[in-house]
Amino acid sequence: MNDIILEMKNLKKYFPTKKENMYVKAVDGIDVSIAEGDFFGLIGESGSGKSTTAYMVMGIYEPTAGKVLYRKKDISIPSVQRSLSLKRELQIVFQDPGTSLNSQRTVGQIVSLPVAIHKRLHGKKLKNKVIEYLEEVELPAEYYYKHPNEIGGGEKQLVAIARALATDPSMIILDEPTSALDVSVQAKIINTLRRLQNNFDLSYLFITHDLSLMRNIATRVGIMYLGKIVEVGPVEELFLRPQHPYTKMLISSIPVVTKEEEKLRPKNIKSKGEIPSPVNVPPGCGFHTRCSLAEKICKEKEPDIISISEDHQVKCHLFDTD
Amino acid sequence: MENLLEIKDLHVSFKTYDGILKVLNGINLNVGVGEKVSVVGETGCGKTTTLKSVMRLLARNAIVDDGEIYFKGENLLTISNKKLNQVRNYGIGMIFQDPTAALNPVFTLGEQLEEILKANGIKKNRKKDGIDALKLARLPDAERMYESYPFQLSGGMRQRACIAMALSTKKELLFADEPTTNLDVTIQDQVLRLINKLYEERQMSLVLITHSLGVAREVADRVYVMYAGSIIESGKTREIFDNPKHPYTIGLIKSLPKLTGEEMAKGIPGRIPNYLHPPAGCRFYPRCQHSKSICKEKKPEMIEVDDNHYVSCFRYK
Repeated sequence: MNDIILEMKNLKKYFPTKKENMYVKAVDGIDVSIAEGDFFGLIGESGSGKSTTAYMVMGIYEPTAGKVLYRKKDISIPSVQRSLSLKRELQIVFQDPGTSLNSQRTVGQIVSLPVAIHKRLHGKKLKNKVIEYLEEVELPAEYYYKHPNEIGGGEKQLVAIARALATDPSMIILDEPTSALDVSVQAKIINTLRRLQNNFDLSYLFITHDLSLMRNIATRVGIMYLGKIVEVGPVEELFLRPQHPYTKMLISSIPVVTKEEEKLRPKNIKSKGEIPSPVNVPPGCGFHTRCSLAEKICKEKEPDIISISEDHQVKCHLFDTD
Repeated sequence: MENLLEIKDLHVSFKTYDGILKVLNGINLNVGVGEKVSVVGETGCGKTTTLKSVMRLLARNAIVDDGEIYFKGENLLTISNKKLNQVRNYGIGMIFQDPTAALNPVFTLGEQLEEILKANGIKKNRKKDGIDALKLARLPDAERMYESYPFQLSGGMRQRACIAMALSTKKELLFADEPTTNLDVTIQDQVLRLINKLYEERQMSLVLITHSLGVAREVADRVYVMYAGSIIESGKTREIFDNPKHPYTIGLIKSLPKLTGEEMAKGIPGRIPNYLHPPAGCRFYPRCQHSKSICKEKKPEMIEVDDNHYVSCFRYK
């Protein structure tokens, strides 16, 4: 196995509320390790804490507890304290390119900024380099002079990807980069991301709620629920042999388009209930309020993480050995 | 089957500062009594405009250039406002895409429901009817919900409240405009099941608008595929998904990520045309791999390629 590039150790983020001693437990102790060259998919419903996780990795939020390690170095510091070389290594693409690109600037200006800062280029060399990056994401050179509002949603996201790519990073965090796009456009973005991963030896942390998409592109997948990772494993294993009742519920809820896919959905499980508020996390296993297999112990004790095979772990009392 | 709703050759355009946007380009659509129909298409293809034309809710700058819309034999485009309100109250109910925008944030669910019932001419026991409507939409603790404001509810609950409002009086046809787009997959599953159950209980017809092919397949008996203001393919759900004919439908299904992990296609190149100057002829030809010279000149007719399976493409002639 390759070296670990990014590691989160018992990472937590609590946000204070107006009431004293009440916290929004957005991320509540997660352990993730992503190997060099991985395409790691972090899946969860809204409110499960997946974006908060991404922001902690980027230093936008400071963790309440726990650590983020990048190539074994502790980087749980705010982004203003991070060194330029670390910022170069880690880049992010946000969900909505309509708001993450400055509408007052041209595409050229947007992609120039990181190139100018990290590569110290200017003038003609800078422009040529920027056009190189635009071509890397298959945008024609004339887009250099366009404003974001003149181009389509998919193309805007390609600009955001070019901007992230412009520092020659080793790892890119992708925070739902295609959830605002149509499927015919999504397919194009995904193919670009895959090609870039090969060409530039990138590692990805892809945050999404779309399971079918992860089935196609991720190498490893983690399922997040209420600030915790409930199941993690290689993509094939997790989709063919899902273990956690929540993973099964998710897969069974996906609307599919072929008979072959229908066969893969777990039967005898029905989605019910909603994700509880992260302020009042249920005691024991956070999922027991929606789980049809919940027993007495699930309401009292938080389950441990249990290894089913070498790199397939699940956090559920069903798999207690004793 | 008897037709409950029939849209014939509908053309709608919008006046803007830049010029006239020719959006709907001859829509033909039928919904039979008790039928579940889905209209599928990507952003900006005119799905919502079609529904709004039926309800006569189009913006002021919209012009209906041509076409007829029959609901139970009456042309909705020409009937009086009084009759139209009858149709809105007892004929067609509508669920909108964004429940947060559809609900008024400063009134409780109860106040909003009572207003609807009042407009429908119900004078007595409006509170009881309102609570019954919430119960119908399977909202837990309906009495408390009745006193709640929309912000106190989760997204899934808000959509249930919207369903309650649409069905607070008995309707013959329910329009659901992307009812699950902003919802998580497990909540989407529950809302779709609820719509399906209400369809059976109330013996209505259903038109579901969605951009998700999977959702359409899950719910509908028959599917219409829309592209750039035209219906390009229609047929029984199974036919459309197992045996798609139009290059756009084929491309769309191939672009979807599959649970089997089957390789995804590279998407469809290009994007939806500008409605100011839409391509003459087939509106899909600039993105089509199979385009011939005739596609640029003439709009293809709907051709029946199989039993009840229609496609508008020159490849099938």
